[in-house]
Amino acid sequence: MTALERFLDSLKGRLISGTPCVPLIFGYAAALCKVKLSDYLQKGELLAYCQLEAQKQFGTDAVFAYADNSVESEALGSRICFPENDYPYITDYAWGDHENWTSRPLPDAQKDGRMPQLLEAVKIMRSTVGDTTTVVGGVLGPMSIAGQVMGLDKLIYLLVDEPDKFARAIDYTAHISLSYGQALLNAGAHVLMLLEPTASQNIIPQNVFVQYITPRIRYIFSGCKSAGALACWLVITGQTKGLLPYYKGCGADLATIDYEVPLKNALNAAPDLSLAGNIKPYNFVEHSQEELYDQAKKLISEAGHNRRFLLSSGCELPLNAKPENVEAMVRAARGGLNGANR
Amino acid sequence: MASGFEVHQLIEDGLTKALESLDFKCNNDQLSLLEILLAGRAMMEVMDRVITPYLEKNKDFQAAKESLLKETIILGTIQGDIHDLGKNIVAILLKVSGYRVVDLGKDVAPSVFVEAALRENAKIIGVSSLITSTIPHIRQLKTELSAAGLQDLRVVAGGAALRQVSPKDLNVDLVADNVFDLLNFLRCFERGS
Repeated sequence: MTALERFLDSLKGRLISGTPCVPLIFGYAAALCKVKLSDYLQKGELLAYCQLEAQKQFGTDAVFAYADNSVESEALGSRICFPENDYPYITDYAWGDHENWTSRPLPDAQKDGRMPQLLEAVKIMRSTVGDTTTVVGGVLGPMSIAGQVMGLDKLIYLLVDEPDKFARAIDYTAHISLSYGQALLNAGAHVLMLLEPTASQNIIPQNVFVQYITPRIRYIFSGCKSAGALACWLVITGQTKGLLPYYKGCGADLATIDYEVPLKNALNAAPDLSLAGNIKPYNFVEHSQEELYDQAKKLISEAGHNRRFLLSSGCELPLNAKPENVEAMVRAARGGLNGANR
Repeated sequence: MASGFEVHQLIEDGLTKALESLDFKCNNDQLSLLEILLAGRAMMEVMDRVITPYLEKNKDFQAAKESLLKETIILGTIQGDIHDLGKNIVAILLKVSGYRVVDLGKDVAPSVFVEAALRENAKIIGVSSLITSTIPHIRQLKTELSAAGLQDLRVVAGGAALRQVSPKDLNVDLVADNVFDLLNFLRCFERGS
């Protein structure tokens, strides 16, 4: 059975041997290959190389064409600063004055910012793994892109003070999520991952999520499925227990849950949805491999015979995660409920 | 104030009590950043439009201002992190609760926190971070404070990534889940408990 088959069968609730293992390895792949993070994030070929090396080392079930949460904002014109070995940050928001956004053309994934590099990364990864390992293309969600082009505080005040304008802003950014997602799928990604961290309940109340965010996610996932996505994966970090019941209606096939939501609660809140989670990312840094193994086994045990569970981290792995801890996690997954030793 | 209330009553019984009423909601995961931002904005408007103009007209403005202030809190986002939205909200809510806030901004080295604490005669540092890669810098804070003779100074950490880590592992006195956790800590500190 290939990793892609394991991944997709799990989403369909089919019986498989072991548990799929998909830790969110993004920039950590660069640290693992001892390359500068700033190079990894700006060179598609290097990103693909590091992702493939990480997958080869750990035997996980997916590779990720995702750089950081400023890719879409940069393509819209924000200025970005790249520290050598840390994630970039925005120095000048593209929509700082938040006027006349919608008159601007949508970014072209073939030429704007780093999007072409990410498309290149997908092409290389897909041509290397074919249909053996899941190639995941990651895009930021509409609320998060809007926050990244005008600043989160301004976006939140806009939502309260001028809700129509806020709705137009996230309509525009939803088009960006969709067009970039479709470009990643056309380049060869099997699965579309939508990362929407600023839609968590830590940031907005549940009713705002339901009113404003769910229709846009549904629009994006629907368009991506039409473009050939084998599955749509929703990643909202932080507190999401009140949002989970709405995920299925958004068209999500799989959702990541962060460590703030206990797996049992998530399974109850979204019984028809495949769930990936939810080891604390920092445990990959601080804990021993025995502890990581036990934490992974505990999650697998909690999922019980639920066939729609994928073992993962609650958020992306820290850059200084210990490789032996990722190996311990994979060992636990491969053993399923009973087998495999620490 | 036209009805004869004192300024400190408006702050204590008006703003602070209103803020405390949000505490329960926040500790039950019912309060989001959006709601906290709006609460902070509303309170700052009361401060800017009502209380500060009154104090500025008052002959004993400086004395009144000083008498109203509680402890000095040094705030900053730790070295290696430039996210400051959460820290800015904390600064607003501390100010409207009557604390004197010295905001060092973002990407602040541990040594700069220590220098500020010495200079401002502060007893509490609030340090924020959204990412885990900064944790070694936070751990360093207490070590540097001790080296400067400030071993009794309290350090409170907050921010999304830090909630994964225990105070002991982070070498701080408290990892605050939210701003109300910090305010409760400060109240206990002032009572000496």
